[in-house]
Amino acid sequence: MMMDKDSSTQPLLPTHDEVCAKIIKVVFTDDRISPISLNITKISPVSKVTIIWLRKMIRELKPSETKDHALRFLKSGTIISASAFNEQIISYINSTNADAFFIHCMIGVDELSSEEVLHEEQNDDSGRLNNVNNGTETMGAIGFDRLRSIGFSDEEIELLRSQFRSTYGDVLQNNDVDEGNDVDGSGGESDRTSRRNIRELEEQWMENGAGDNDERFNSVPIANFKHNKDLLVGLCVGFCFGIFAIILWKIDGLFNKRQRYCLVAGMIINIMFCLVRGF
Amino acid sequence: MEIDGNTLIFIIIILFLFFSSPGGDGVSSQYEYNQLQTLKSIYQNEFDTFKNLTSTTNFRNITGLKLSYEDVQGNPDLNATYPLKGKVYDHWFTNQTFQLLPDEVMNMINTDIWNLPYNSKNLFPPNITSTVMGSIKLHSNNKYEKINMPVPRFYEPPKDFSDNTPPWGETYVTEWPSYGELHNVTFDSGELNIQISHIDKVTRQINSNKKYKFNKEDENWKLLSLKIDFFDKAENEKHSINSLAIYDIRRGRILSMTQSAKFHSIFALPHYLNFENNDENNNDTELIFNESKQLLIDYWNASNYIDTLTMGNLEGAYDNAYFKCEFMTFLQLEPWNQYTKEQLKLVNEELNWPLGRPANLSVVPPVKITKGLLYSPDCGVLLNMENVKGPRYELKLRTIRTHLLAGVVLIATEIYLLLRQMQHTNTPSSVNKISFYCFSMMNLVDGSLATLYFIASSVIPELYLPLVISAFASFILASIFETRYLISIYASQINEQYVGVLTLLRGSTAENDEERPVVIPDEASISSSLYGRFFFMLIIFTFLILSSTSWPRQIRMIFEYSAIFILNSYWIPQIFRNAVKGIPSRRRRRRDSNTVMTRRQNKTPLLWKFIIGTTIIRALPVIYVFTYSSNVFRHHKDVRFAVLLSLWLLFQITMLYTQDILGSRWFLPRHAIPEGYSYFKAISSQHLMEHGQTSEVNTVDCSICMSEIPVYVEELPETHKVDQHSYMVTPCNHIFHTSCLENWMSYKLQCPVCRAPLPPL
Repeated sequence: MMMDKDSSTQPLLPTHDEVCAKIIKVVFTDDRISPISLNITKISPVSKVTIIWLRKMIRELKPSETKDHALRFLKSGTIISASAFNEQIISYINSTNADAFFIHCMIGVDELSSEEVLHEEQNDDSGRLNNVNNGTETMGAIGFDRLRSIGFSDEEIELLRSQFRSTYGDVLQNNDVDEGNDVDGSGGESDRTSRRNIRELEEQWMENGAGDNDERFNSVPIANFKHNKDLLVGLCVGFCFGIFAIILWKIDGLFNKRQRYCLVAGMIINIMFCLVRGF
Repeated sequence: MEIDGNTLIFIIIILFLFFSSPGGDGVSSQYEYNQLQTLKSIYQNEFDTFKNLTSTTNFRNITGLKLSYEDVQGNPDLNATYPLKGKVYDHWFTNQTFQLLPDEVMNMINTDIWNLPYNSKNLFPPNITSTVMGSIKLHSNNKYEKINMPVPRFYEPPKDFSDNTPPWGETYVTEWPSYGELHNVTFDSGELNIQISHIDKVTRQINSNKKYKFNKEDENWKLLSLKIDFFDKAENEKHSINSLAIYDIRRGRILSMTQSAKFHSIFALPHYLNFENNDENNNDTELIFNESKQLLIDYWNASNYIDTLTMGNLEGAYDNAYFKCEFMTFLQLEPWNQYTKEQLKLVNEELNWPLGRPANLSVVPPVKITKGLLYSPDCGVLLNMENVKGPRYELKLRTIRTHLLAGVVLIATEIYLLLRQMQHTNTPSSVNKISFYCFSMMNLVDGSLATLYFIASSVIPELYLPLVISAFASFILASIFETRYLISIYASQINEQYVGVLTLLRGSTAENDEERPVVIPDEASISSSLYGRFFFMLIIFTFLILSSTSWPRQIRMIFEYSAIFILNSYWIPQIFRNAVKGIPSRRRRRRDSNTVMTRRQNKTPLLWKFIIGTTIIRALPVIYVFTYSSNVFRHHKDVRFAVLLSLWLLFQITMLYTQDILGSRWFLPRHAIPEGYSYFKAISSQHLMEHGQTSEVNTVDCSICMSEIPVYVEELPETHKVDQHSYMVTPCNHIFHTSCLENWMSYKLQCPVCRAPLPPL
C-alpha cells in the first residue's frame, strides 16, 4: 500500500537524467518486494519488449521470490494480455509522456511446477481467462449476487436463483438457451448473454417487486414455453423408448427434473397402450 | 361401506355371475348341449356322405341340397325330404334337374363368367387379399322359382327352463321376419364391396391361438373367406354376406356359397366349380372336383370342424338362415399376364415381407374381378357385378400408413403452433381475451381423433405402430396442451361467469342486483371439472361418429356435413369474444404503445401464425377427403362442399383480420356500445376531502398497496401533471393504483373495500 502511494505521488527516481527516458516500473502486489524499474529507452526494436521479456527480466532480478510461482500482470485493475501489453507499450513509447509505464505484477500464492507455471502464464498472455464467470462479478454484482454482501451463502443464493428461474426463466428473450438444464461450465456466447439477462431480471425483480408494472412477471405458469417443451420432450422420449427410457433417465445431465417426470408419464402411456393391445 | 353378510353374499353372486361364463364351446345348459350334439351328428353324417361323393353322383341327404331347381319348378310347395320319390341320386349332370341353378343361369356362367379357356398362358395371382369395390346390377328378382330351404327346428331356442330336448322336424318359412335383411333385392343398381382374405392356417381347438397349415395343393387351390356387402346408393337396403370360397388359381375362378342352418354349402362347393359338360373335358371336370374336394376334406380335418363347433356358430347359423338369403357367388379374376410365374412369386414375397427385392411395387395391378354373378337359390334373385377392383391389401396399407404419418406431421405442427400461442398469451389478462369455446371445439376434434386412432389401432393390427403414434400425438395435443390451456382460459374468465354479455360489452354495471359468487373455485377444481367434461364429451362424440358410419346414407351425410361445418367454425367464438373485449384498432394500439397505456395489454390475443397455421392444418384433411376422388377413406367427391368450407374459413379469418385492423367492434353500430364506466377520471377536491385528506397533500392512500397515489384534482392546477391513467376510481368512489386494481380485478369483480360490484374493464 505504501509502495503504491509512493509510486503514484512521487516523481520518477532521480537516477535517470535523460529527458525522455522510457521506463517500465513494475510494482509488486506483495509489499515486501521492492519495485523494479526497467529502462527500455535503448531497446530497439520496440517489439522486443513483450510480456515474456518482462517476465524473464523479473525472474532474473528477483529469482528467489518468483521461483515456482506464476507471474501475472495487472494494468488498470485488469489482467493484461500479451497483445494488449504490446499495444500499450508501443503507444507509451511513441507518446511524449515522461511518466513511467506502471504495471502491477502478481506473484501466485501456490507453488507450482514449471509446466504449470508456463501453462498459467500462457493462458494469461493469450487473454484466455479461465474465470470468465468472474468477469461479470468483478464488474460489480447485480441480481441475487448482491445478496452475498449482506451475508447470504452461495447455496442460498443458488436456491433462490433456481426458484426464480423456474418461475420467470421463460420471460427471457433468449428462449433457446436451456437454463433449466443445470449443466455448468459450458461457456458459450449465448449462455453468457442469457446469464446476464437473468441477472438483470433478478435485479429488476429485487428493485421493483414482482407484479408491479411489468407484465413479464405476472405470467401464467401453463403458458411457459420452456416448460411445455420439456413436457413434450419427456413425453415423447418416454413414449417412444418405453421401458428403455429408464436407461436414459439414469444418465446424469441428459434430462432435467421436469423432463424426467414427463419421461415417466410417457412410459406409463406406452405401457397402457401395450396393455390395451394385449386385450 | 360396512360389509355385512348380505353385502358379502351379493358380492359373491356378482363374482359368480362374472366368472361362470360358459367355457369353450359356449354351452350353458342341457338343452344347448343337445342342440350342439344334434348339429354335430348331422354334420358328421353329411360329411360321410360327402366323402363318398364323386363328380357323377348327386348329393343325398345334405341340408339345403335335397331339391334341385327342376324339382320346384311348377311345384313350389314341394317338401325337401330325402329320399324324394323319383329323384335320381346316382348321377350328376350340369343341368337344372340336378342343380340349384336354372339352366339359363348356368349358361350365363358358362358363356359370360367362367369363359376363359384353361391354358397355361393365363397367370393369376396366388394371393388376392384385398378389398375390391364396384357396382352391382339387378338382373331379375322375380323370374326364377324360389327353392324351399327348411330350417331344422332343433336350432330353435328353448321354450322354458325345464326344456331339455330340442324339437325335431323342420320349419318351412313362408313369412320371413320383417326385421332381418330383405329376402329380395329391390334396387336396380347399387354398390358392392368384397373383402377377400385367405384361409391358409386353421386352429385345431377352440380358444387356441396355434395355427396349422393344411393346404397341400397350395399352388393351385386356395380357400378364401369373402365378406360381400352390397347396397343401393342411398343405403336403404343393405345385404351383407359372409362366406367360404374356393379359389381356382389356374383358372382364376372363385366360387363362394353362404352357409347357414338351412344350407350346408361347404359340401356343395366341388359340384359347382365347373359347368362344362363336354365329353373331352370330362377329365378336367373330374380333376377339378377331386382336387377341390380334397382341399375341403383337408380343411375339415385340419380344423377339427365338428369338434370346434360352438354355440356361437349354431346361433349364427340360425340367425343367418332366418334373416338372410343364401347366395352363390361366381367370380372370374383378371389374369396378371404381364408377369411371369417367377416375377409373380417375387412380387408376392415382396408384398408379404418387404426386403427390397427387385420388384416394382408401384405398378402392381389391382385385383380385378372382370365378371361376377350372384344368385340366391332360396330367394330367386340374380345379380350381376361390374367393374369390381381394388388394390392389394398390403399396398392399401402402405398408402394408409403414409397418410397417417402425414397426419402426424400435421399434428406435430399444431402442437408447435399451440405452444407458441400459449407463450404469446402468458398473462392472465391476455388469456382472458381468448375464447374458451374456440379452443373447446378444437379440443373436441383432436380428442375424438385420438380416440378413433386408438380404437383403430386395436382393430387393424398391421397398422398398429403408425396408428398408435397418431393416437399419442393427438392425445398429448388434446388432453395435455389444449386442456391445460383451456383450464387457464377458464380460470382467467371465471369472474365474468355471472356477468351478462351485454354488461361485458358495455363495460358497466347496469343493474346492481346481479348475483356474483363469493367463492371462486381454484385451479385444481376447475381442472378436474374441465377434464371430466372433456372426457364425457369425447366419449359421446366418439360413439356418435362410430355409430354414424352405419346410418343410412342420407342421414349420415346430413350429420357429416353439419358436423364438419360446425366444427370448422372455431373462429366464430373468438370473433365474438374479441367484440366483447373490445380490442382497439391497430393504429390506435400503435399510438397508445408510446403512452402509459402500454401496461394494459393491447396486443391481439391470437398469434397470426397460429390462426393461419391452425386453419390450414385443420382444413387440409377435409379438403383432401372431399376433393381427391381416390382418397384412402373411400369418401365420395364433393368439390362444392370443400370450396364452401374453404370460403367459410376464409370469411372467419377475414373477420379476425378486420378486427385486428379496424378494431374488434367495427361491425357493431355505435349506439349498441354505449360509453361504459370510465375508471380513469379526475376527481374533485370535495371528493378528496371525503378521503380525509387536507387540500395540501393531494394524495390518497391505495388500500391495496398502502402507499400514496398522487391524484388529478380538477380544482388544483398544480396536480394537472398527474396522469389520469395511473389511478382508478371505482363507481363506489374508492381510489386505487391502476396496476393494483387491475390485478385484483383478474380475480374478482368486487370492490376490495366495500364489496360493491365493479364493472369489468
